[in-house]
Amino acid sequence: MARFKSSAWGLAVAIALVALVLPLMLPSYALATECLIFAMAALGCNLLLGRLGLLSFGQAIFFGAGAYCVGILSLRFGTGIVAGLLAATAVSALLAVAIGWLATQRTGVYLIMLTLALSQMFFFLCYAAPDVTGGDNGLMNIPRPNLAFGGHELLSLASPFAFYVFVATICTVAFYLMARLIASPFGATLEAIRDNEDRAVAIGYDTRLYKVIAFVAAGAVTGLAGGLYALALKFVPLANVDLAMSERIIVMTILGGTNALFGSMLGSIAVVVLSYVLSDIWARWQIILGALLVAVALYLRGGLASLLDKAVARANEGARP
Amino acid sequence: MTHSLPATQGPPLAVSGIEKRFDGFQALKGVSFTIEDRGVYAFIGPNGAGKTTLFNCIAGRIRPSAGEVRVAGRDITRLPSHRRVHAGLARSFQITNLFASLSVHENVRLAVQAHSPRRVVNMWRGRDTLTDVGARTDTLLARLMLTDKQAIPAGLLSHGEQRRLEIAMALAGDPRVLLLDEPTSGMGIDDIDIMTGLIAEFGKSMAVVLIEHNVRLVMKISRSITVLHRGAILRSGLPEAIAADPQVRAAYLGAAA
Ligand SMILES: Nc1ncnc2c1ncn2[C@@H]1O[C@H](COP(=O)(O)OP(=O)(O)OP(=O)(O)O)[C@@H](O)[C@H]1O
Ligand SMILES: [Mg+2]
Repeated sequence: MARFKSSAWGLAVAIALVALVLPLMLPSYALATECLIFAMAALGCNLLLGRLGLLSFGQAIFFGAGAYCVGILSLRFGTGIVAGLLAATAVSALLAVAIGWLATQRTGVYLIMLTLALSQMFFFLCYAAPDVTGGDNGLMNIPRPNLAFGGHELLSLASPFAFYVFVATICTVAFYLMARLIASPFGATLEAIRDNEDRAVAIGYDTRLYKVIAFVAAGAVTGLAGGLYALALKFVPLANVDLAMSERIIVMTILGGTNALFGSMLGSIAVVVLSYVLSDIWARWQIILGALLVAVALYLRGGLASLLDKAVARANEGARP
Repeated sequence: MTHSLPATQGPPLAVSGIEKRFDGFQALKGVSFTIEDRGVYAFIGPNGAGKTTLFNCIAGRIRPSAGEVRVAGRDITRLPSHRRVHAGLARSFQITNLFASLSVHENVRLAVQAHSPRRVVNMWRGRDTLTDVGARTDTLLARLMLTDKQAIPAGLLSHGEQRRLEIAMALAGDPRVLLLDEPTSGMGIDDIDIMTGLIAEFGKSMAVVLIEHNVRLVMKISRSITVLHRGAILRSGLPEAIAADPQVRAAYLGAAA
């Protein structure tokens, strides 16, 4: 893990391996697809929480906006899949400029409260605009366009397998890019701001600008995930912009751990699989998720990723003569 | 990486009519002074005289209620702190203020990196691949005698080393004006001697404004001494004249009593 942390290529390989193995262990491609999509959503949250120490309850805004964007473009305008996803990414990034700019007017608890309030506002905005969002019913029967370039169809994404490969490719690239970002001087500056913002200002950093840029990167990847989710379900429920969605993304992020980006993949798999398995047997399954989160908060501050870290360290220890 | 400041006429630092009120309490009552050249300029005064408050107004950490600050002729009164750094104004803190969990090397590297903002937002490079930033970082670490300690977290340095790290970070952008707030506070005698030598050294290439309680140190290296008392300048002049001034002695004794 330590090696993977320092190398974006290493992380990309790890994500690709997970994507390869995941369908073998899960009952359906649909479930594996969901794991990868939410890993990307948690990745955005990981950047904010892990690198900057910012807890954003507004991640559902970006996720939902991306989903609506793809849904509306595909449903009403027959837009292609690449253009639709690019638009989802761009729209979410733009929203993140506004949300980031507003939320970073304050710090600490007040920043969290601002993201919470903005998230609620966005939910009611979507609820109150059924012409655009379908309101309570959401957007239904969204077509999933095939991958095409210049009028030539390259790949049909109709089968769950083909769509899974498509999502896995995007997910791997997203993790790679995010790893590059946090390894760059920009990423170093985010860590400085997390450690001591006051000092970062005193050595000449416009810390608010950096925070807003981080919000934009987080918003973009989360919006992309939302867009893919719309294509995966062929449906955009209002629940995408619900506060519960923001919570879900935060839970995945914290459960997985924020010391390493890979944690977001682990957190997403844990929550998606757990909710799939448990929701069938027990209606109150979320209690178990809550208990798990409490356990992580109390005893495993680095999340699931740190568990993996320890296992690898122990294996290395054992391998040494 | 000596970054090029726009050529300007004015003196390195000119402060005029600075006032600061904290709900009802007047901490600064119209402070004016000009620093015309390089050298070490000391500010002394009893506890609570307003020295740190004056620095905070100059560095932009707090807004003065009235008055004006100019660096090299440029009015910076309304600039946010982070932009004042790029105007050539750097500071260290009375209470140690570092990136405690980051390595000593990274503390300095971040301070140096802040002076190439266009490359900071380049998201496609490794953080250690900016070679000129690395070179400048190494120079500063060597100058402040921190090379041996560069790999450990800043929070684990000894007190004296932390004070030196503060200054290495302040020097990163090769400032015109360096504000040092009690750089020797809490230091042992050996560390104080090292620091005294360093400050005198800095005074050869920039204007150093030094808040210091150690009068012996101040007498040794300052071009002039300014005495701040109850938010106003009581006296300003050559070290010998200040030391002999009866009113200065009274202010200090009055505060001690
Ligand atoms: N943020 C603030 N709010 C209210 N009062 C303040 C604030 N900052 C400083 N003061 C008051 O202003 C006065 C000047 O404080 P300042 O820290 O500038 O003194 P100083 O000369 O640096 O003292 P010392 O030698 O002890 O560091 C003190 O009476 C202090 O209590
Ligand atoms: Mg003080």
